[in-house]
Amino acid sequence: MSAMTNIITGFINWLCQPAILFTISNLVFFGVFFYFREQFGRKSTCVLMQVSLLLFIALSMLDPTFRSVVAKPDNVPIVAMLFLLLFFTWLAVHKMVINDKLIDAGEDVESKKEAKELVYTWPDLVFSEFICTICVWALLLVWAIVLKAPLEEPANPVDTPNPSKAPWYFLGLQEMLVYYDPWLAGVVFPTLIIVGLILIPYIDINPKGNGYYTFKERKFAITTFLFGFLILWNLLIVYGTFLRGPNWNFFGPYEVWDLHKLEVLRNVNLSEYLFREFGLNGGKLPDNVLLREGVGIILTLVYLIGGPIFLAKKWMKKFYDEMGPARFYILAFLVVNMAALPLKMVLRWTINLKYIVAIPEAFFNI
Amino acid sequence: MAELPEDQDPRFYKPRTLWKAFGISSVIMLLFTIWMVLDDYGREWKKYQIEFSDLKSRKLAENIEEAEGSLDQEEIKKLREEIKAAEKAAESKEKEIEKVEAELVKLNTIRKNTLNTYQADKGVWDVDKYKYEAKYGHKYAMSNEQQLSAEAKKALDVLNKELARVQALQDKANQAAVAYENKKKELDGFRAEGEALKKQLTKIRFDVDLLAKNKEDSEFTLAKALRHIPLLDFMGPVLTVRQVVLPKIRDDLNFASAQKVDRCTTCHLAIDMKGFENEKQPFRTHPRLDLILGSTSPHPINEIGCTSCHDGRGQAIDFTRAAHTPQNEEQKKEWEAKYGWHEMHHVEEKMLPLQFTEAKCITCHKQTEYVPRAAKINKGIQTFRNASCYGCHRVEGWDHLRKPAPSLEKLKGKVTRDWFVKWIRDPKAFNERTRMPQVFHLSNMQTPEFRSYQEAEIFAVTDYVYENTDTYTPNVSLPDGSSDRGKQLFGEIGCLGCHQMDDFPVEGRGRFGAGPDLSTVGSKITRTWLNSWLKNPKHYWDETIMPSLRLTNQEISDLSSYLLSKKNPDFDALEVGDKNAEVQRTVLKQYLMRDPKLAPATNAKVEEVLSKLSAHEVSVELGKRAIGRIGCYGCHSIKGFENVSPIGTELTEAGSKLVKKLDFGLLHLDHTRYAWYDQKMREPRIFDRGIAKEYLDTLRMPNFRFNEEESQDLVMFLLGHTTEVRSAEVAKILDAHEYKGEQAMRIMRKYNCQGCHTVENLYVPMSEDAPGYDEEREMRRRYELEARILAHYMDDPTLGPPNITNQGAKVQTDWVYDFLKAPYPLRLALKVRMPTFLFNQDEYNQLIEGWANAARVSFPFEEKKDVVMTAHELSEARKLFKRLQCTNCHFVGPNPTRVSVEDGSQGLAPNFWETHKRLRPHWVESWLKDPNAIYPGTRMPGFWPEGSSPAPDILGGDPKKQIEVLTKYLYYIGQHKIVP
Repeated sequence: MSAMTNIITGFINWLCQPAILFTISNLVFFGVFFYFREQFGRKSTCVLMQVSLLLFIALSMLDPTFRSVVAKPDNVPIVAMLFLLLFFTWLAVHKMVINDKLIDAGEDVESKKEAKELVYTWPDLVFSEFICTICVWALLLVWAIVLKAPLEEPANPVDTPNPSKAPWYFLGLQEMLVYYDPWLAGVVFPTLIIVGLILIPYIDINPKGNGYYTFKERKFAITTFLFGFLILWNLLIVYGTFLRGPNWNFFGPYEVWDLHKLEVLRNVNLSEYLFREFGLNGGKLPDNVLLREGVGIILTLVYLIGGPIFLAKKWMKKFYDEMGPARFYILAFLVVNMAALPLKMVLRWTINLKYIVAIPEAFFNI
Repeated sequence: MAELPEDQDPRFYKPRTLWKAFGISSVIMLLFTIWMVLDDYGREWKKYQIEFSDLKSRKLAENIEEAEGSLDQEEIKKLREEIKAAEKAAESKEKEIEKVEAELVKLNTIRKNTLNTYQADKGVWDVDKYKYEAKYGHKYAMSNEQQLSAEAKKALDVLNKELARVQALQDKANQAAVAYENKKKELDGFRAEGEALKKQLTKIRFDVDLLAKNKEDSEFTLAKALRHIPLLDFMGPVLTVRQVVLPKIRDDLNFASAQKVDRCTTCHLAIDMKGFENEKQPFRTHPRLDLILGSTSPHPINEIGCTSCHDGRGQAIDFTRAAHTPQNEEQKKEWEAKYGWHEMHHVEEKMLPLQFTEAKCITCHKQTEYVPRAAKINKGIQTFRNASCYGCHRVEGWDHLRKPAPSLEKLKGKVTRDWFVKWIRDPKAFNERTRMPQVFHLSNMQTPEFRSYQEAEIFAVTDYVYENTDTYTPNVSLPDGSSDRGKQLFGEIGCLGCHQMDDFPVEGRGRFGAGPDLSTVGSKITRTWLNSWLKNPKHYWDETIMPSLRLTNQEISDLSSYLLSKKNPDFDALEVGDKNAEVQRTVLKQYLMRDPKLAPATNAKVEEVLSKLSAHEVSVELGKRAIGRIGCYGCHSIKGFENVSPIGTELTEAGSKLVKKLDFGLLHLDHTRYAWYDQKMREPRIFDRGIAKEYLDTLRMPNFRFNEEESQDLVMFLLGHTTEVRSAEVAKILDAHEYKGEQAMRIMRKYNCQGCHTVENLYVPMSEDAPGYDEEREMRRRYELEARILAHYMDDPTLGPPNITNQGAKVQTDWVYDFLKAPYPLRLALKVRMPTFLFNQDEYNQLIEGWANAARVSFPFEEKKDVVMTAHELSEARKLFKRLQCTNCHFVGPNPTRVSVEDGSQGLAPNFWETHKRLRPHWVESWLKDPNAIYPGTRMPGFWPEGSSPAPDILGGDPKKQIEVLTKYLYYIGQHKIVP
């Protein structure tokens, strides 16, 4: 029995490693949206998923490590978030599937009932919002009574918590710090995220999908947004919450948070690859920073400038034609930046790449 | 808005549905709100306060009953009857009373009216006065005029006239008041008898009535219950959080500090009240209220609070969140079941388990080495001192002590090389009571490889020490003596004050003494060395505390023969073994690879260094490095290590060390300081278990084989050494006298005076009523702390060395100096000898000055005058002296030889001819008055018990006079060399 459990827990621990879980999540995400929408959108799938998640968590609670992490008052809401995310994603897909079928059949979904529901601000909207207020309030009361505020002692500079974790909604950002320099992961990317979200209404000129769910009419918008939201944001939050332990090491869900766990940290900069591993310049790093990091800088520029142009000319020509150059290049710049995170992750997992451009002299690393 | 029928309503949200949703969510909200109120309402401290008010009422009822019982009920009954009779008598004069009362009403009206008139007019006059001053006064005060202006004068006249009128009104009002009072007295006269009786009754019943009032206040009545109703309880809550605010003690909040606030009394409601000693928690009274928490104790609750000693979170009012800590597993289980207790992970300063609370005494009592009346922590301090922890670990306040173990600088002259090898390999094999810890072959050295390295180091250390010792030539060499006589001497003259010996066992004796256990010393040392050592210890080692016992050569011979006969055959039979030069080279190589002088070290570089060394040089070099790594020089003086700091971690702040900074290795221990420290004491190297380490990285602390008790003592000591800072307002700060007294105490501790004498009352007696009290065991417990030698005199402690507490009050400065320099027998029948200590001059001065200061007597000299006695006094004193039969024990006359009094009892007490130069007269008087109060258990009888006199016919039987005259007489006979 215990041998069996060991195998299973060991397997799940293995499965949860960043590279593997991230890959699987991507496969599942794109698989669902491009190939298995219909199967995913079934009611039975919803029940199955919720029940399996519940079972998974319930069974895992038998494991003391899992229990101590998941049942921490800080983390309980994030468990609830998993169920909600799953449900709402399913709900959207469920409706998409129905509407897409109608669209295929040539019906005008936009003028159908769902899109034309009549809701007055007063009394309908205000009243229903009031009801929601009461419900949320009631929920907060129960939460406050049942899960006591996990207050700690006054901050002590010589006794800092390990792991030191950001508030749960910032754990995705904190996870980015594993792959990017703080000025990027902590300043540039968050700014781009906010700016990008603000810009959506101006970039998105697709008039379809107003008031109803559809995938076929908004493929790009939906996959891009949900990829960012589900994979790059929520998955990383789950990671930061449940799977990052002392010293920000990765710990499988059933792995004891051992303070002394060590992992090999041998990340190599691109310039070091070029000059040390491949022996350029006789194995010596050039003293001139630009010479040293030239390749990285060029690659970065090519990616940031050439990427959008390439998209305009090749893969997203249709978008370019429809949106016009200004809109398109803004969109393409954002997309390229968004893709930079998974790209860097892959580079890290495969070739231990630390920085593409590493100029610690000026605190500038990419 | 007009409602359409549902099916015609085009709106998406149907009103009816919304109303339903609203209804349901409101009900849910209401239920949850009620839940919230109840959750708050049912907090445990509120329950405790309600429960306590019941308990207190019950207790008060018992007290009332008891108080009632102690009253003279007959008298009360009689008083009540008399009151009734008096009241009846007054009633019979009803008519007269009515008349007087009617007049009184009239007089009262007049009184009030006249007073009213006066007050109104006085008010007007006050305003006029102000107006006059405002108009003329200021101007006049600031001018140079000699006289008031005419206008002002006129105004002043008017004002004064008005004042006269007002004063007349006042007089009238006073007259009316007097008339009223007189009439009232007339009325009171009718009832006077009854009132007086009532007052008498009240006086008798005062205590009982007060208790009853108290009980009424503390009862949880209906009115109070109303104030306790949810949502109304904010108006005048009956149940309140109680707190003690301590402005003088501050909590460290890392970036700031705040005054300590303890809310423990919210639940521990009777903590400083007498009478709840046997209640269940949280209502139990604190033990020893006279010492702690009581309002008259040195530690009143409103000055020291709770968490300054107990630790924990003083502001929490929840059992778990206050960070209560169970004493043991059993209690932990009990708490988990009872309170849903769990550990507060984020709280560093959890409450100390009860067994360690006394540790916190030394947070405030930092300037003294011992804390008065704190038996447990004193034992901890003593164990720390005795085990010589300060040799390797610095602890603030212990820097003044010299290295605790013998110097190895002349070792060659004392023990053989073979003995030394066997000894450092396993000291306990030589003598299991030795203080020397096991250094080699410990638990983390058990692989064959490490064992061979250890052997290599044992020989290397030996080679280094023997290479670096001076030669020593003993200064005397004596022939064999009688071992039997030696044994007798050993038991008699006081060796047992510092040394232990298996021929003189003491049950349950701890293994630490000031000197080594000598049961196996014959296997260690040579005759000539021993002769020389006994003759003059400082000849071998000038820092030794071993005194001279003024032994004759014959005595030295006898003692030496005895000690050399005490052998350990098992140890003698142990193999010395051979050193392995190859392994020594291997180990030395490891040291060299890390030598900063060779860094960055390469194999070739190190090999080159090694190749230049002979096998012996390798051994000596390895020895030096091994000593440096193991830290032998922390306790022993070793040449070449004069200025190297010891290897141990500083422990000054051990009680505040963050738990996460303690290396638990791979052990699954409770993550607490005390669990870690305890484990470290019991098996210091255990944290290496399971860890792959290089030889030179292994843990180094030697194993002292502390038993559970010793370990707990030391843990207590460590827990007390926190980073907490107490301001001078609350900490124990010694005044000038106390400081000097403490200095004297330190000298006494250094030379182990407490080995023979009771010096400072470290022992706190256990109550004889306490469960498991056993007199003999208590005596032994006492002699573990002080006057250890008295454990050999259990039958009659008065035959042992005397109690010398408060010595300053007793002896005269110049006498005691002479005595310490050259002691001589004071009580000739005692066989134990006061040794000649070789203090340095500073120590003599500090010691004697400290004694005087501790006793608050004049220093250095007392007034000296010749005693003059009248003929009458002399004759009375002589009579008294005879009557009391002083000479039964005391000798009077020129100092006799020891032999002449050996048969008689006169040798049990000092010679009276000494008294005048030896004792301070005040002390003699108080000694005569009650000897047992000064030295409990003394042989000296108290002749004047409780102010009664043994000789009523002498000096009118006045004890005070008798004592005075007798004291005078004792000085008189000494000064005039009279033998009565």
